[in-house]
Amino acid sequence: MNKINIARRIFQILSLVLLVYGGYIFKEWKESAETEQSIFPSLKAPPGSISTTKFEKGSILWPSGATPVIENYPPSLVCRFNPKGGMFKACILHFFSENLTWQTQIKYLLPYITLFILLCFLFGRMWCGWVCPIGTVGDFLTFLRRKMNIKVRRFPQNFRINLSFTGYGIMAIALTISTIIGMPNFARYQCYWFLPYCQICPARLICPMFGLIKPNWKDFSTGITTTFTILAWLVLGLFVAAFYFGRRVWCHMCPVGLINSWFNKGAGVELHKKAIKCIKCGYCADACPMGLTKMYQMNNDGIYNQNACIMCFRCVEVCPRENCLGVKFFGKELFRRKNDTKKVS
Amino acid sequence: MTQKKFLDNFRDEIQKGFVSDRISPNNIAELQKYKRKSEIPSMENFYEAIENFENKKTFELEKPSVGYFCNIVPEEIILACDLHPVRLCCEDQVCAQAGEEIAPGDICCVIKSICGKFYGRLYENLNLVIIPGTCDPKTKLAELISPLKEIYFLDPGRDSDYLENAAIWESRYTELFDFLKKRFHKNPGRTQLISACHKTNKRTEIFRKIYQLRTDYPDSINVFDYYIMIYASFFMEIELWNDFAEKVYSQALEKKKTQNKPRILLVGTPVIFPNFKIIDVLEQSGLAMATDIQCTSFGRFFNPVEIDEDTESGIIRALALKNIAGSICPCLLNLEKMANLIIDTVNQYNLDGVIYYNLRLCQVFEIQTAILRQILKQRNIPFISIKTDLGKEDTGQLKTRLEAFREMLESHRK
Ligand code: SF4
Ligand code: SF4
Ligand code: SF4
Ligand code: SF4
Ligand code: SF4
Repeated sequence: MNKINIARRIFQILSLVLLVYGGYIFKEWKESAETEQSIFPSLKAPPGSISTTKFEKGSILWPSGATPVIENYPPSLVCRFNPKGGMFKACILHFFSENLTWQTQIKYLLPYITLFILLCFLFGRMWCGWVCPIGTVGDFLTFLRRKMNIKVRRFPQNFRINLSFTGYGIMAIALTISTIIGMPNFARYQCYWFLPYCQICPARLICPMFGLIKPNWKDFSTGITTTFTILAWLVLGLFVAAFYFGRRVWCHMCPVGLINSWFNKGAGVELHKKAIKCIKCGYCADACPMGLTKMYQMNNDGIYNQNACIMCFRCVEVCPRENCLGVKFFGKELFRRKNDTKKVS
Repeated sequence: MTQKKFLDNFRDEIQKGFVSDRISPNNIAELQKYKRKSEIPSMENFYEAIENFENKKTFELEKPSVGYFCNIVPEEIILACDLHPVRLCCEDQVCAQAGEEIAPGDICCVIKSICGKFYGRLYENLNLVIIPGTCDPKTKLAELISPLKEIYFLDPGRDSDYLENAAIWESRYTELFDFLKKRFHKNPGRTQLISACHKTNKRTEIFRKIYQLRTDYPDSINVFDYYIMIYASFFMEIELWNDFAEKVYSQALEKKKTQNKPRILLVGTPVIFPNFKIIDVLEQSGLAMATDIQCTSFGRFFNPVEIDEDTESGIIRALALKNIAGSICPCLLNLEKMANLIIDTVNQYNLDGVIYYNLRLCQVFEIQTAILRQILKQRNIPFISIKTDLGKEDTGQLKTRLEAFREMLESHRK
């Protein structure tokens, strides 16, 4: 069997449990430790501006306000809407959105951003392949499709590139809105436009359900909330369809994944190819959940980290040629494809 | 490509026009000769299986059997339909002479042998023959033998680039799968496909062990035994083959002994019993065949099916990748891969030289000789190309050439 894949699945499930149920698991410990000084400044909404705690039951951004175990932002879709606040505060997009609106001074943000960048540099998008709970939920949908014997949809390269442009577009719009409503003149729009991406993010609808909490499916009270409700449904539909019919198609447009992808080239984790070993069998490209092909196409030795790669190492695992593909961590070899005679898939 | 009836209206004329007597190639004496050289007790099983097969000169199997040529015909799909796959690739001089009548002139002896076997009525019990359009003579073979047998023609194209062709291969294989299901009234699904892949992957696992062992200790399983095992896999039940091969491997492990002969990589036309001339000569001239890159052995067994998507279509696609994209068949566009593979194998196992073996009149093997020679020359890898046919007349001459090659390798070593 495929050891890496099994290890990854186990890691994914453990991460999901930890990140989503962290609130249940560690809350007591956290509450007793709360008095200790944190190295991170606590980011609170300045007086007068809107904050996540202000949303009542019935509004789109409910449930909210629960404090997480660790007030930080790892490079994954770790959602604020996890039951009991979850393990970490939220995803990085949430962090940027709220602080743009609050106009928090840069010096308070720096520790968070530094940690985020450090984590990205160390592991690249391994966060997506191995940690992100939403990716895990999606992989489960893919698993269901496979069990139902439904053929996978493979999307052409162009389509996937366009998806990432869409993702960047949505991210840009969300951050622009967050900036605008932070300006004093537009502060009155904050109650509708706060955290615009969260309002349409599928994680907002999925994560509360892990705690058996009914997420806020709909808010038809005003035109704006109706629009957000419908958009959220569409995005959720897209999310489910993308994972059910394809594989990680969604992850081409997920904004958090996109930010993460900037660090993939040059990250500590490196994928390597030794071209002379390659027999162009296409196993690697065919198994890649992101539909990437560089490892197949490359005709010279070297690193083949790609922006969209989620570092699942599936390509390394399926390659039938000993030593052809491999993974290094800061130049140190983690593993290479072995001419494993025991290997029967 | 669905099933077609070629030359259907001329069936009678053709059948009347050509030999219908049974031909009787007799290779038992030859077989005994190699059996005596064998040092591994459980090789007996394989020799016996071949002997039975050669004696009966036909197939008498419980299951309907499907003949096929080439690696690009997916054995796993035939297995999944609960049919018995029989690989028909053949290099037999008696058959080739009989086949001369059907395919006369400058045609490769593989095609002649096959025609001889069909028109000599040795394949009466086959229910269907799957013929791939890999090379030109094979394509025409579909027509030549269609008056005698039901034919399925499979043409996945000759471009082995995965990115452009995977979808085409998948659909060709699916058509074949659907056809077999209908033709033999079977209804296999993905469970059957997966279990068929498990069988061939098991075979890969054993083969890789044997391959590895022989690269280090070529004498642990002598070269004749090696090709006898390969030949037996053409018609034996795969599970039986796996069991026997496992036994051979465990007995061979005890026979590890280092030897000092130059170790050779044999590339090119497959060596198929009874045409063991090349390995005979190789042995006589003091060279050790450590490993090979040939379609019936390495090409067929080395890569596992790697099922990523375990849906029916996903498995069929995985089969296409294994059999076509990863193929070393010279009929396809993959010369670069071939060159890489040769260089890499030589380097990895520290081999002394490469023998490029090709059967006279096979264009696809011959046409790439000069390029390969040039590439290997640049990398200082000794290379010799041998061109011959099924006859034994040139044995002496080949021996002289290979002995000279051996001397060259020995001086190269120093
Ligand atoms: S709803 Fe989406 S954007 Fe908002 S915190 Fe959760 S994961 Fe991040
Ligand atoms: S790209 Fe996918 S795996 Fe990565 S953070 Fe987004 S949803 Fe999660
Ligand atoms: S390139 Fe390899 S490691 Fe990256 S996503 Fe594709 S299969 Fe996974
Ligand atoms: S799986 Fe390995 S051998 Fe096959 S194409 Fe990819 S890198 Fe090459
Ligand atoms: S590939 Fe060569 S040897 Fe094989 S059938 Fe074609 S021409 Fe003959």
